[in-house]
Amino acid sequence: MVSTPRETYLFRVDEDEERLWYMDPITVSGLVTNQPTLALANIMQRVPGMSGTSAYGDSSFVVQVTPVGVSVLEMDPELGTTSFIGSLILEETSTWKKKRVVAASINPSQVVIALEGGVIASFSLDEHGHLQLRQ
Amino acid sequence: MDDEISCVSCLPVDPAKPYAPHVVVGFWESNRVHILSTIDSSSPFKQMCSSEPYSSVPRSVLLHNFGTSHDRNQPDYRPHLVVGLADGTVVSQAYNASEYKLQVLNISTLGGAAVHLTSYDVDGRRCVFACGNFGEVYYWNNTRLQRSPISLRVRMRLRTCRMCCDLPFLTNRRMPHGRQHSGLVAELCVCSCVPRPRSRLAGSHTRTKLASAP
Repeated sequence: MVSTPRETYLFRVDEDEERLWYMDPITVSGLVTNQPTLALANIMQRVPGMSGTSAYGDSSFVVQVTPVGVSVLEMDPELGTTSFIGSLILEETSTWKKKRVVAASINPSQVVIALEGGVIASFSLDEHGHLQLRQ
Repeated sequence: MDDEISCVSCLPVDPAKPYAPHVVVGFWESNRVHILSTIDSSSPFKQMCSSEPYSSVPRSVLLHNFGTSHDRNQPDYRPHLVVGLADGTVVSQAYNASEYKLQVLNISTLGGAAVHLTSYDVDGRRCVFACGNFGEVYYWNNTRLQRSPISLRVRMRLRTCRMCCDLPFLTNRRMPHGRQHSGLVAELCVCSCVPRPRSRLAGSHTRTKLASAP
């Protein structure tokens, strides 16, 4: 993934030929390409346990953070395609309607975004790949 | 928080854990970095520690354990706050996780461009790669934090499309519409621009005219 200050581009690495192949946005369903990407990473999935506690397991979910919101995609590694799972668009929220994301960081289970005005929010994914506001 | 945020990191100090109990945040106006706790849900993002103001705006932050142990009671647990500043400076400070205090500053300079930090492992040793105008690797050796300059070999040529969009060419693969252009070969331009008539591109375009193209 390559981000310029204006747009996002996705390339496939061909290790045999040591080349990068540009992937058309049409083949990457759900990826936001008309915005710069602040963070993009594979993330683990919450797995509810028998005793009420939950653990984290491997998943094919990918989280992309752009200035306008957070998107969740699911990758099919065999076909090399993605499908859109869900997103949080700041404009569609009541509390963050007029704000944009200015910085973001992703670890295996948390997505932390910093908004204009010094606001921080933390999200995680539930077992269905939906974003849950933690703090 | 009153100040605008310039960078944030939630990468865990212990890479074996899927979550981070701390979030590190840098600020534009105060030039400070705060370490916030994410453990207590009743007081979200509680400030645990704050740095002194740096010489420039923090643009990349990491709370990184350079040691091999992830138990804070063990001697080889060596968490450090590493900050890449907008003026090309890298600041590292040992972090006392028990008392939430930052120790003495270590400063190095990587030119004048903003520094970006990336943590990674080499043979079980946890390192930080800092990249500004130059590159350096930070690692723990002989009871102190060492840094080693590395040369950056960029195989991918990066040129700006002055024909249409000011975007960089991102690979060295020539596109079908690649053409000679002001002494350069136009390669993969990823914008959706329509190539202009050949007479305008290969004709009597001056550098000034090309630079002002939309």
